Amino acid sequence: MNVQFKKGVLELVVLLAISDQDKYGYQLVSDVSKIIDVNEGTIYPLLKRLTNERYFETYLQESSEGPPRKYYALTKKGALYRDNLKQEWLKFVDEVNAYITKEEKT
Amino acid sequence: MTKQEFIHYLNQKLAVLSDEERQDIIDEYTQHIDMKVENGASEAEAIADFGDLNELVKEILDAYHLNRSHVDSNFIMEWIEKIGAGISAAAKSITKMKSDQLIQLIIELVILCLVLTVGSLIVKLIAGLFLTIVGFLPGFILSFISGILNLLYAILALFILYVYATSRVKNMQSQNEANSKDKDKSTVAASQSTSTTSSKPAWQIKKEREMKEAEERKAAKKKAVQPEVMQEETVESIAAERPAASAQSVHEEVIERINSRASNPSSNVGFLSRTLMGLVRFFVGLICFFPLVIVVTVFAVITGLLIIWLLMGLGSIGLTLIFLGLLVIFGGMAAAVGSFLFPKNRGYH
Repeated sequence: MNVQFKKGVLELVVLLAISDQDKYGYQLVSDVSKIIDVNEGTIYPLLKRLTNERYFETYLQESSEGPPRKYYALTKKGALYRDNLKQEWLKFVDEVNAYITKEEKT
Repeated sequence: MTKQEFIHYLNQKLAVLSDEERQDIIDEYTQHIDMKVENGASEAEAIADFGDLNELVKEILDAYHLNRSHVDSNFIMEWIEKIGAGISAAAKSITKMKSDQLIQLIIELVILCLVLTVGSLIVKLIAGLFLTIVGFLPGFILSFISGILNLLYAILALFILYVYATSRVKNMQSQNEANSKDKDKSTVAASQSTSTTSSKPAWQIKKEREMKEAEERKAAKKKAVQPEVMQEETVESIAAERPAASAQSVHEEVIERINSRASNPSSNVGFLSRTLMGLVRFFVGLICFFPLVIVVTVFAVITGLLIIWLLMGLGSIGLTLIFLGLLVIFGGMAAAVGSFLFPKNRGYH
């Protein structure tokens, strides 16, 4: 798929993937990469940015295997941002789809 | 590439980040590799999944709003940063001024340098007289005294230049802001003036005064509006708006206005990125106008040599002052070029 498409929608998918439960980095990254085929390494910087912008907050939790894991949780601000982004995306897709169907008819 | 090599690589490339931030992001990647290995992949495979490591580093640094060019930094870069911060701060305060004001300031500083140079001649003359009077003293004491006198004058000259330049820059800035503020106020007054008959003439007078000021600026007259005059005008304009207000409250408002000028809204963007932008702007300006810069430099050097030749025997102080004058010309040209290249491009913060 077009790389620019992926880049544009990656943020929204990450926000959606964390909506139902808090996740640690690897978990979130592998969940996201199941939906979008994207270089997994590039998701971590995105998580960092979303945390810096207060859409995520992080906490450490012990794990049975290995060192404690850093969990990401969506903040209220993040949820609001996610909803806005989702609406924008849906509207955008509708508009593009409508245009495509119109073009095909003519 | 093994995990250790990868960690070492990241540590090196992300040296610009704070230890805490760097450790944080490296921990994430380490964990990612560990999990992959648990699921049956090799370290090399897991790292290969990250793709081009250069790209990865770029992405990470982008997340921190950092410029890529900063990656290969060392302690020299830190110094360049500091100098760059100074330059960009200076350029910022200069570009706030209008171009004719800038030229005016440069001319004033050059004239001041010349005055101080002539002053050094006078000081030398007086010192010479004094030294002949006390000529009975041993030679080394005489040379010591003359050395001290020279040094004192040099310090005094530098101090005068510094104080003058800073006060003029501040002055011009506040003048610009005062003008724009008064204009805002006058439009408000214009919309309200229908109800009150007395406010309209005052507003007209103010507008006339503003227009006159604008004309003055356009003509780039050397007659600078002195700080007292500027303050008085502010007082007058406020007083004109509110004739009933007592003199004291007017003065309080003036002080408030002046104070509000001092505090500019601080930006959230990191100090680093601003510094880098300043540096980039400075160097781009320098490179784009390199021929011009060379011409100006050569011209300045020739003029300087000519002046030195004319005023032979000025000694070190005179030479220093002339050099300072040339420096001011050069700096002013660079700043002018910068503001010409990026007329309103201060929006990066």
